[in-house]
Amino acid sequence: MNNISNLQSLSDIPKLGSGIGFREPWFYPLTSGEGRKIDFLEITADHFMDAPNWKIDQLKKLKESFTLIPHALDLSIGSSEGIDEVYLEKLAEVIDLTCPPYWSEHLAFTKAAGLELGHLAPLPFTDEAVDVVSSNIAKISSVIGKPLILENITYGITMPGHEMSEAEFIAKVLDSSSCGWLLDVTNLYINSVNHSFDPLLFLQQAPTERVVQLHYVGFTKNTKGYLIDDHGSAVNEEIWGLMDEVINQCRGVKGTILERDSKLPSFNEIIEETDRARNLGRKHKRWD
Amino acid sequence: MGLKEIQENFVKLSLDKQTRERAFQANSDLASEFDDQEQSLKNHAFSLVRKRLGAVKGILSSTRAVLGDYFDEEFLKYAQASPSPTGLNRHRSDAINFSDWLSKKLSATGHHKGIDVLLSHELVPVRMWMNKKQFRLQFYLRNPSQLLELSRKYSSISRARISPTLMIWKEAPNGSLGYHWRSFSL
Repeated sequence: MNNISNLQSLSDIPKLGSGIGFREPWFYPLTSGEGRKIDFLEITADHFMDAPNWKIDQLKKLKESFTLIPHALDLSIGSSEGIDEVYLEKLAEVIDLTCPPYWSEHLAFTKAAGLELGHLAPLPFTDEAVDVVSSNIAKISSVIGKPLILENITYGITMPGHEMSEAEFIAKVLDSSSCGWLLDVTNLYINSVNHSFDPLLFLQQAPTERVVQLHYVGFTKNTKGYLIDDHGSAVNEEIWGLMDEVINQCRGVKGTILERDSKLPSFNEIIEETDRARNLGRKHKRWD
Repeated sequence: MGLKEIQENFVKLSLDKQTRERAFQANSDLASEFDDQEQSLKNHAFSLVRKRLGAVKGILSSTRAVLGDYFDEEFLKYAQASPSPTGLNRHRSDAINFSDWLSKKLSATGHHKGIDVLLSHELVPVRMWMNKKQFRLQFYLRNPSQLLELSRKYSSISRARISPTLMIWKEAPNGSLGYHWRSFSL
């Protein structure tokens, strides 16, 4: 898929509303009546790669009731050594199975020197990194025909050699690769506190017109006041406040995903949080 | 320094404690670009190990319930000596490798009778996933069901009596999750 058609496909994405990241304990509520209260699901693509029959059956069952958005963790889009073709092939299989309007990955790297970090690491905000990401995405697009949106991550370490701000870096990457933006509101808030910047000023400088989807979840604070994105807390009021502003500014946003991974609460609590996110979208007339 | 070198140095400094300590002590090229972030790199390295621990705890949850904090302490020692496996099954492989490491350690001390059975039982679905097996038979001298029951009550599993048991594992039928098992006392 070339860059122009990628952009066209992004504009064709339907309104999705308020969804959640699928976690296995929620399979039964989601496939029963309670699932009707959730508009769409994000699935972690890695959990379905090279998976046994029962797991693939689970995916097919979810697909009967929901639009599924595959979210990949380990493609290492920012790796200077290029893309792992085996991983890419398996990811393409999951995307084929789910037939999504788009899919997502992180603007980060996880592999270098033949080693795997097992976690997302930030890129230096340089033109070289922009070129590497753009070249990797060109290769990915030759295998996966669906539009890609990239997620901003949290970072505790500042990579050496920055030549621009993070907002400028994201803008350049999205521009050169014609990808959309998966704006993680919690990651933005956490970085703004941990690295002392104003998230609203960041938004003014960032390509908010490219935002397709949002991520949000609660955060915790360690004893030194440093914020941690442990994906294990209820959504904090600070995040709801920033979400309101983000949805107001991002006119093209199609949906929000609550990204709870640990200390899973009852499904009712999840529904309450997704209702609140849905209402924010309605308030700003982003969906019905 | 170009992107390739930055990424390679970052990964080496994050994953290998000895390399990191030597690099910062000697002020070597490896650490030069990160020289004001030694503590941040240490924190980052520790969070990577904690992430591995979290995944393995989830897989070996009953063993963790029995061993408590000892499980975590031993995992941290294991992780220092054993780099994380790679690939899609990295956490599953990590659980298998740690289980081998823990078994050897515990058999040397003679403590925790029954832990081997519990570890083996918890790893069956992991191995079935990795080998795409739909069916598996497993024989034990102690009944894993009784061990699981004791582990849920935080009781000492060394109280489990000898009870030869056959476990039959099956991939869940359509619409169900995971793997199901039944035990038969012999």
